[in-house]
Amino acid sequence: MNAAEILNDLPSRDMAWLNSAEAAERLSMSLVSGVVKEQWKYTPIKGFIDGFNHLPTPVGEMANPVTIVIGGGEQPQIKLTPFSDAAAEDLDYIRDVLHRGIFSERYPLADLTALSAGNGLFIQVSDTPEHPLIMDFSETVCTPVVISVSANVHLELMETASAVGFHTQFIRLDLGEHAVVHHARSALANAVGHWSLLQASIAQSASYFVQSYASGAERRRIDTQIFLHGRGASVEIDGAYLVENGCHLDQQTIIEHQAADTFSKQRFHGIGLGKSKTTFNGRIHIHRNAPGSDAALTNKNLALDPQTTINTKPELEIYTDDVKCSHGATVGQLSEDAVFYLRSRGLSDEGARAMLATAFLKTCVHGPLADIVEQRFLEALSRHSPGLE
Amino acid sequence: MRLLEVDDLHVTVAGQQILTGLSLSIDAGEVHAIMGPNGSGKSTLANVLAGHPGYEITSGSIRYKDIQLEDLKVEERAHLGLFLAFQYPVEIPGVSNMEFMKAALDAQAKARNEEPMSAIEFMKAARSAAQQLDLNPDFLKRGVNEGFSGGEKKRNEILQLLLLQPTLAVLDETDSGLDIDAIQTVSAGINRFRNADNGVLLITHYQRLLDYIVPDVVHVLANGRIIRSGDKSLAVTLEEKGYTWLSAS
Ligand SMILES: Nc1ncnc2c1ncn2[C@@H]1O[C@H](COP(=O)(O)OP(=O)(O)O)[C@@H](O)[C@H]1O
Ligand SMILES: [Mg+2]
Repeated sequence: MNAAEILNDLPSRDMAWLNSAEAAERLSMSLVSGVVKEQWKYTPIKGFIDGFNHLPTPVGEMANPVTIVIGGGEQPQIKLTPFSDAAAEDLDYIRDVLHRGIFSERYPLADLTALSAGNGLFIQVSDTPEHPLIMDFSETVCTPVVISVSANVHLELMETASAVGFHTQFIRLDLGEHAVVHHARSALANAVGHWSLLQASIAQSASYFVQSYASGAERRRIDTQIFLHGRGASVEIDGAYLVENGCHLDQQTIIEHQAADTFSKQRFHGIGLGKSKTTFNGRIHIHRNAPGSDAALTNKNLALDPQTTINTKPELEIYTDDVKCSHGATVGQLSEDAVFYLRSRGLSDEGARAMLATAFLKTCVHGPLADIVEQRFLEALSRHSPGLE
Repeated sequence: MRLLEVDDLHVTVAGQQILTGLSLSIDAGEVHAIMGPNGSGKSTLANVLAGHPGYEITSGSIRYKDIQLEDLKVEERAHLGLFLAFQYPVEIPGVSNMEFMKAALDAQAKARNEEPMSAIEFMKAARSAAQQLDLNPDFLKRGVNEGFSGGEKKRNEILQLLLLQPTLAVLDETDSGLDIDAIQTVSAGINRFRNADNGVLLITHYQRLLDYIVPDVVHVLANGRIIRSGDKSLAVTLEEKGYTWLSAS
């Protein structure tokens, strides 16, 4: 792939938070790098790169590329600033955190997103707000977001991606010491193409709880990378996904245990229907200086049709002895014993299957988005096997 | 009235012949016990009656009331009042007992063109059934059999029996895994269910259950066939002398 060609088509502009020449350089390197090849094995990256060429007019001038609703109206604890309006010290901060992993050879689409967007949104949460912060990525655009949550702050964050056109987004989230963030996120629209990157950095004794729900799309890729960089930092992720006939979903999560006594627990349940393609790759990386780390990941999948493709790959890299780490990934079918049990009580074959499939997903669905997500999954399951009540 | 008529039934599982000419008939108002050594085919019979897809009937027939049972789907049999209490009830995490039973009752009512039970009626019935079986009402909210002990699972089967009120109940080793107090509780539940219009096929490995639920007929199943039938005293003799006594005689 020729990075120069792609870049030619993008508006060139100077951004205080991103050196475009550097970004272009990085992009041309990463598009040929082994990491990217490996990471995009099941989803051709080209399809996404092409998407950038077909974006509507650049959105650099948009002040609010993402719909933000703060429950209860404006709150003094939450400050929203477009990158273009950010003060010098804020720009320093934005540039600094974005260069700690978002702008790296691992995420070429982050550079493309930034270059296409030309602007971004900086959200500072300096004290515990009374109400949740709600973000909806509803536009067919590229959107960089940086969120900084100060020490000791508690935040409820609700994030949805509802655009149906090609759209990309990244969120860089920094949790200060002892901060607690509950983050419910969903990507349920059948988008033409959707790439999303969530990168969070968790300081000492801070806790991050994520509920992550996704459906397949024509093309959807969700990258998540969590740095547990302070002692005792923790993250818990519960995820559920359902990929309908003809759809595609690729999720890659990386947990970086970089400090002692860090904790991660992930549980993902997914279902593939019809001729769909699902990939889940969960990597746990326990760095050398992270003794006492405790990491667990389970990923369970149900392939409900013979033509359903599901790839799940656990990856462990452990460089410390004194750690607890468990990892399980399965792809299976519904239990025929359970189907028989339900039918023997009078449920129809389809009804029994739908009940089991729903229950399997529901195990991982809770929190503020639960109702919408369950409804969406149930609709998809009934579309798949009509005749369900 | 004849509820069940099994005639010269031959069944294979995974290509292996398990039932080899089993015949049995049960009338309304009767309790029949089937006893037999492990592996003799007791659960196979239970599963075939319920319509388990893994069992193939190679010859013989099963009539339930006046219907040829082999032609019916699993759920259709349930709609017609056939119930199987499983020897090994299945755990279904994520589906609550209550949700499961309400869905089952609704499905059965719908199939019979009856009004569904209201949520309040249902709750009352479920609570009362749980109480009768000494099950904490919290069990209704828990996932179906999820993390239940062996005995709790068996009681949960009888809870379903009491709620669904079938016409023919096949109980596959409901007594195994129960301590003596639980056997009494469960037996009381089954005795309460019995009436002149329904029937019970009680599969058991031990005679002791029959001290509490007195059968009209006792059958001995061995090598896929009923080799002897008699009254309750047959079970007592069997307990004393063991199954070898029968194969020897
Ligand atoms: N699904 C199956 N596949 C293979 N063999 C089976 C299966 N189910 C039962 N059998 C065999 O059939 C025989 C009878 O089993 P079963 O009906 O469970 O006996 P019982 O309930 O009397 O102990 C046993 O030899 C058992 O191994
Ligand atoms: Mg058995």
